[in-house]
Amino acid sequence: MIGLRIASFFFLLGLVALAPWWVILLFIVAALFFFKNYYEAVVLGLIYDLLYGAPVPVIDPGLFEFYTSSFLFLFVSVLLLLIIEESKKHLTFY
Amino acid sequence: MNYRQSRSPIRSKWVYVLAGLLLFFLLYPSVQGLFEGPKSFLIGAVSPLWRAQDGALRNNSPISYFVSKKELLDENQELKNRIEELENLEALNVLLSDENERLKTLLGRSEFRGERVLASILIRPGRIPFDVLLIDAGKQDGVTKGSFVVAQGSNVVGEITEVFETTSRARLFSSGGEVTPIVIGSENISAEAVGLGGGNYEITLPREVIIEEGDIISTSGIEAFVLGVVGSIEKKPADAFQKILFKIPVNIQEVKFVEVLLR
Repeated sequence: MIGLRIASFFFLLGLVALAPWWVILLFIVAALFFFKNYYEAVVLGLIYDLLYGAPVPVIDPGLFEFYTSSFLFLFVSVLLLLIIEESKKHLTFY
Repeated sequence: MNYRQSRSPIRSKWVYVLAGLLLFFLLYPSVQGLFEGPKSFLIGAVSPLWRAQDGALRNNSPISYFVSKKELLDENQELKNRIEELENLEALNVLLSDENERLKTLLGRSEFRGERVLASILIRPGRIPFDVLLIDAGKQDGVTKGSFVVAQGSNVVGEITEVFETTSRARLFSSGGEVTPIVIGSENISAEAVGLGGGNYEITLPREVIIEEGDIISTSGIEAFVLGVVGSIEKKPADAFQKILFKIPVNIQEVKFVEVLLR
């Protein structure tokens, strides 16, 4: 299982480099459901933002614009991790 | 007997994670420099893959290496015909360009006379959820932060925001919330164009200002570049302002090369 987890991380890393953002998001969600506590998703979100992130105003320009916009994928991956881990507790499949 | 309610471990995890995120965002300005090294390393490591992917996709099909000889000959003849057609258009273009230059001089505008660096677009909007271009020209090519990026000659589309060794990141002026000072029309009316994303802009002006569809919109400053032409004008009877909408005249999804105007 550890081997599969490592392989999945490198596969997703390749997708981060080459695939459209929605494909990456789909596979990250799948990995979050498949593996327990897939914290690698947060690392991948950070890598994605470092590669492609650009300041995009999420909130009106001012105090919070800079803090929130350059790390959109990091923020999304953390949220997904929390939501999916929480959801899995309520799914009979798990 | 009172039982102390046990604190939910789930809620605690949420609190810690969100607190951690908030701390990260608050501390980021202080530790921003720490991310520059990893960012440059990642960009340097991945950019060969982007170039390879860009080169492979230019052929439009993975099996293009296996086409028949006849198809290649037909394509060759078609390209020769197209070259002849373009040579004829070029002569007309020279005449129109001279006239354009004379008109700009009359309007008090000057043409950019500096150096330009040609760069191919490695990553564009659609592939990533940001209005950003990653191009394959960087420090080695003389690109600097703040340089304008133009497509198809004189249509300015964005500005370089980050420069790496062999690649650069440019933010499109049309990205959501981006404000660009502009002038409109032959009377050089000053205004601000707000990016709406997807190559679209919006300008808000008082109703009394006379603007017509087709008026040219260009960047303000001594060296002016075309940003677009007025597409539509929205005026509501009860509103003191009019909303002018336009989009960049090039389709950024189809453009393969851009030029960086070196400062």
